[in-house]
Amino acid sequence: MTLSGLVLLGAMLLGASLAPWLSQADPLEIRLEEALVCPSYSHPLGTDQLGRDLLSRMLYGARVSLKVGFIAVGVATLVGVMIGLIAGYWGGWVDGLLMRLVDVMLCFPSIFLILAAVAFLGPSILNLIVIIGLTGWMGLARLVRAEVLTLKEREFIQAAQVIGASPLRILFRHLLPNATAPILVSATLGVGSAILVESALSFLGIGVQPPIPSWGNILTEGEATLGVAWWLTLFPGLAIFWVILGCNLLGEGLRRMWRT
Amino acid sequence: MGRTLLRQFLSLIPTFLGITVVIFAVMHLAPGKPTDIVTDLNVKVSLQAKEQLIKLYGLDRPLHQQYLSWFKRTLKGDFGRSFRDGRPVSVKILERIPVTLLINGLALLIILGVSIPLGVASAAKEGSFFDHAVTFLVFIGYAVPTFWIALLALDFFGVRLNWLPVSGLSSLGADRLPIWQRLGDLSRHLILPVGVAAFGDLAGYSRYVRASMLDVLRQDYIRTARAKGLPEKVVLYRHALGNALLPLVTILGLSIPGLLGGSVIFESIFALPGMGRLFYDSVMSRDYPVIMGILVLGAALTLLGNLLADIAYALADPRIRYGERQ
Repeated sequence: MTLSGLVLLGAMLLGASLAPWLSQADPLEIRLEEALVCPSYSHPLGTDQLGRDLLSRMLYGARVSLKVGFIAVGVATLVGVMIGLIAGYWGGWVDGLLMRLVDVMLCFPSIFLILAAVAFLGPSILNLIVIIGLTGWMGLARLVRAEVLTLKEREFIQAAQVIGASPLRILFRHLLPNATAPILVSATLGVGSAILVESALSFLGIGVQPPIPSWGNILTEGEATLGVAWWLTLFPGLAIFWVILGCNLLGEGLRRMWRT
Repeated sequence: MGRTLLRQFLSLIPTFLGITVVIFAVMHLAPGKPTDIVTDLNVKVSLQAKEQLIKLYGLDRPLHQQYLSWFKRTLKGDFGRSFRDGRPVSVKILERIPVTLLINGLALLIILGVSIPLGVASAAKEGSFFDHAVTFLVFIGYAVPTFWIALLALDFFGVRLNWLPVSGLSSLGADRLPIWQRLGDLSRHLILPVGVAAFGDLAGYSRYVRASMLDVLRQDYIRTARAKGLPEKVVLYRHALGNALLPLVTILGLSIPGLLGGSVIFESIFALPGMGRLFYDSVMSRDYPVIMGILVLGAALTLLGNLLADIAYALADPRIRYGERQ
């Protein structure tokens, strides 16, 4: 399970990093005389409405989607871990306030909040990353808090407190390392959902903006050419599916391996 | 039980306050005043109208005062008027709710109808070929993007085979048909969106039912039931299923934001006049009052859903129902 997830994700990462070598065609070069060409030897995945090579666009799109997915999860993990650590360790009203914040954030249909925020701040890739990250930390915060609450009662933490270790040292040297397994599992699963959100936003026209390719905005072209160019719908969706499946397999595999 | 529920209800108040603060903050993240965008993009809006808007929303006042007056009006159910057509936001939202509710409701029926037997059967035969096959399919289904399936289904059933209508809720001229034909027309339009919406959450629910069923099947009273010689069907469906479905009630309550969020995407794809589509259109045209109204309502619906789930849970679980008297 872990292995098949790694293979799926690894293959996509490799494809994205080797994009210029795997496909010679420029993903942005418009050749109207070659618009909507079926998959063939010269264009393995066909071309889009503007005659751009789909394989190239998919590979460069992978860079964008993976970048957004991984960094957004990085942001979410950072926020979630900090809030979880603080809430779990300090308890009391700090904990109450932070967990209320989690409740509040969980009440929103996240796609609504993201749509509104991206539309108002402008759909740059940086904004996408930050907004997706800031709406995806709640589960992790709860998880880390719960983890800290149980660890706090363990003797080695009490021992550290007794010898006068500072709260910061306890948090980062003793608590955090013992909570890495569930954090990693949650982050792995998170990459899949972040990429799903990014592609849905790009599909709706609020995410990555053309001409920069992303799997989501290629699907928008697929929608426009429904019944004409099946390859514009099939391949980008397959790529999203591939990555999410990879993340889920890897995450679930790690979960079973570490029994978290 | 009454006291538990009252406490639950009271705990919703600070959450609701937090929700309104977050919405207010998001709306004020945008550079400039909300009215600038409307007036800049729409030449038809006169300077007078702009001043009127600024005054109406109190945008000339300090932020906390703006928040308070907005909050007060929101509590009364007054979300203001749409920037686009001047109609009250609450009316605009209310007329869109039935479509979203209908599609999500039907989808939920299908989801429960499929995922419960599937999860139960797969848990009952844990480790069998069937169980592995279901788990495999669930993994696949979990990873498939819903909007991609929607496009594929549109392409295949709508365009290629031309079996089903691809957009809207009624055919041209359907309003002149007799009622049963109109219903037939409506159901033909509903097949694709409902099917796609159901597909999106099927995998997750099957997984929950299976896991929850496995938990229950390991308990002593199940072993007792089996030891008594009860038929397996009775053990599974009379003894185990009821308890296994309890956690599902909570999941149902928690799934409301996801359902609403999903409706943005497939209502756009299938051109359905629901709340999701209204939200998308409002975001695209920066119709602030409508956006804020839907955000408040969506979050309030979620809160309500959670409360209802808690109540249902309490009613279904005697440990909670009688807990306080002991």
